[in-house]
Amino acid sequence: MGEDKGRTGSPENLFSAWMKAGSDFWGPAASLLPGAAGGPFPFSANQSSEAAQAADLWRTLYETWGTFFSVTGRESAPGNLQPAAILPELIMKIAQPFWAGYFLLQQGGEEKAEEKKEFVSNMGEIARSITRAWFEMYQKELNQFLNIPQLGLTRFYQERVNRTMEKFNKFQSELSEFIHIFYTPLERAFQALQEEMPKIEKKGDNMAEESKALYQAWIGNLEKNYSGLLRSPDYLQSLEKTLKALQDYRKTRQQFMIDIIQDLPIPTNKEMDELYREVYLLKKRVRELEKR
Amino acid sequence: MKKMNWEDLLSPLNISGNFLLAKMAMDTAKTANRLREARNILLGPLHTAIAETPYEIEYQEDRVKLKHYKPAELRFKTPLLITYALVNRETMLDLQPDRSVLKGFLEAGLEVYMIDWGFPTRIDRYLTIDDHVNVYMDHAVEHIRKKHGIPQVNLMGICMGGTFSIIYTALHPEKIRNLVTTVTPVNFDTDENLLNVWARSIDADGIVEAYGNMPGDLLNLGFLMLNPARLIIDKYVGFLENVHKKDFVENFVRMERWIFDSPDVPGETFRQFINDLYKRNLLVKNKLNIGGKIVDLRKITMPVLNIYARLDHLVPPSSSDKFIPLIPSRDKEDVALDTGHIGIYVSSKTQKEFGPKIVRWLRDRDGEAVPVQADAAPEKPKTRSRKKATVPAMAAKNGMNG
Repeated sequence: MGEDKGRTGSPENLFSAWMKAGSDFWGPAASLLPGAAGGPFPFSANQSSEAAQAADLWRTLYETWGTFFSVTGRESAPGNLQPAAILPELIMKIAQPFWAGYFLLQQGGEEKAEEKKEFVSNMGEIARSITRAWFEMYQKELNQFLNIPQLGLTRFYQERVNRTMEKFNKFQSELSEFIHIFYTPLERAFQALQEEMPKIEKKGDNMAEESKALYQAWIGNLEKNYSGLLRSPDYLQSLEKTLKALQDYRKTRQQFMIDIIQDLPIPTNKEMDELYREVYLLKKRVRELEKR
Repeated sequence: MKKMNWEDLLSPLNISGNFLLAKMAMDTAKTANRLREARNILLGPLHTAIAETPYEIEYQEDRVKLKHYKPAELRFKTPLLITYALVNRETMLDLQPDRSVLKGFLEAGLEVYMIDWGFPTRIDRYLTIDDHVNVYMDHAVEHIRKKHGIPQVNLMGICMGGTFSIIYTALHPEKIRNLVTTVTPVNFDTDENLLNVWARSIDADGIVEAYGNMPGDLLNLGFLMLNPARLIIDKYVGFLENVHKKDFVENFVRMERWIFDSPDVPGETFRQFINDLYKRNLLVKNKLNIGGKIVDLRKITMPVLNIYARLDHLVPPSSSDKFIPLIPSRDKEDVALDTGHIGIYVSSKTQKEFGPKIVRWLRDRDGEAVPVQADAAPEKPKTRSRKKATVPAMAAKNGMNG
């Protein structure tokens, strides 16, 4: 894969080609926009008032956008701002992490596929690699956006939404790893079954009985594989991590739910728990007083 | 271009198409016939009700009820109080008419009381083991003592309910005449079974914080994952193989109803059970603190019968068989049966051993009931929301839990 870098099919070149195609399309398209230099339909005084209002709106938007970029240090001045011209660049900035992540994901899958020649028996491992690559990409490229400090009046609400998304993704990541580990004995038992099939077939007599024996052998093998797996440090660690991720997700989701429920005439779990605790302590106190 | 056939399609799997096709042909007629019978059974009337023995609710406090089962002919002086686990339900003792431990007790003339822990909701999340043992169990015992005018009752505990019974007996030895523990975890420091290994690795505090109560469904999922091959796959393959047999289907559905009828476990009780018992193993060390009092197993001096299952995957023998050596009682007995955790109550084989053994053992120790002296009269139980009702079991079940 490394050798391909710099060639036509490398991620960077593909991305550049795609961006060029985007520019080629959006550039002429932008010139069609009202108010754009050289546009075929320049607005004039004899146009309808609705069209004139729309043109004003566009102009205001350009100017605001231009001001924003000049404030953030861009060279473009509001006067010569061409939104369509900066559009590809903007898209590039936004899409680059996704693109890089996608290649990381694809690379992981391809490398695994190249390493493992026996396609059927290694499907699980390939799927696991792809899943891992996806979550690595998520951690490196996307998760950081959820941790950007929020500003303004709604910052706490937005942070709770982001945290809930982050914890949900983390839970999904741990769960997929757990499911993969849990699936391993099934894969092994099926492999053993495949090896056993020709032997059974050769016997040939009373196939109905043999198939039952085959199932019994398979389920016995599966049970044996599970009994080994379920005590293994790998499994225990994955179980612990998955449960922890589930707990974290549920706890952050509860915070998020409180934000949603607080404007409705519904008590939150937090409020009810406080009440239940009060009731519990009061009942205990009453029992003690009754004993005296 | 070469034409594809079955052999080509199946060759990557190393499975012969001829073999599969021959097998399918042989099975088709048989399967069709079986499906016809299965259809008739599944669409016809099925008797799958559980816990049909009639009872009265004699006492109720919060969600907890005390069920009273009367024998046709009373032959015991001391009634038996049964405490079930908080996981699953006490209906297991009365699963079906021909496999009912409860029915066996009643036919032997034993008067039975049984605690129904009900279905905890979020309001119950702060209830601790102390509340279950020193409030609900103690009030049930007090109710029976007062009603019968006796100083002591016989106590039988099942699984986690057995652990509660041991704790109760150690804290209130004067109120218990005979103690019977069945498949009861006492020693938690064992790696013989997976449940102990897993329980030690989970964060009970985190679960309680996230869920409030420990969800019954989550517990059940954990139990299924102890042996996925048998409990998630093979069990249902067995069902499909026998789906044309009405008795089998009815019994299977009864068991399914019981297994997945799982109440949540109150959060604080779950936390304490995991942390103090599974992780710190405080009970066998005589260091368990319940309601400010240390549970000292050396206070258990009354007759004790401890029954456990050799093939138990939830409470292994090494968890149960440590109990008897730890108590000073001079009349104590361990009984190990060749069955599993649930099989001990429901298998046709153990129906002939388990219940009859308890009946014989209690009869031998029934003796003369000691009348309660005026100055030793038990306190009137402190009760709230008490009610009495006679209801057929299933109707009551639907009403109570629906």
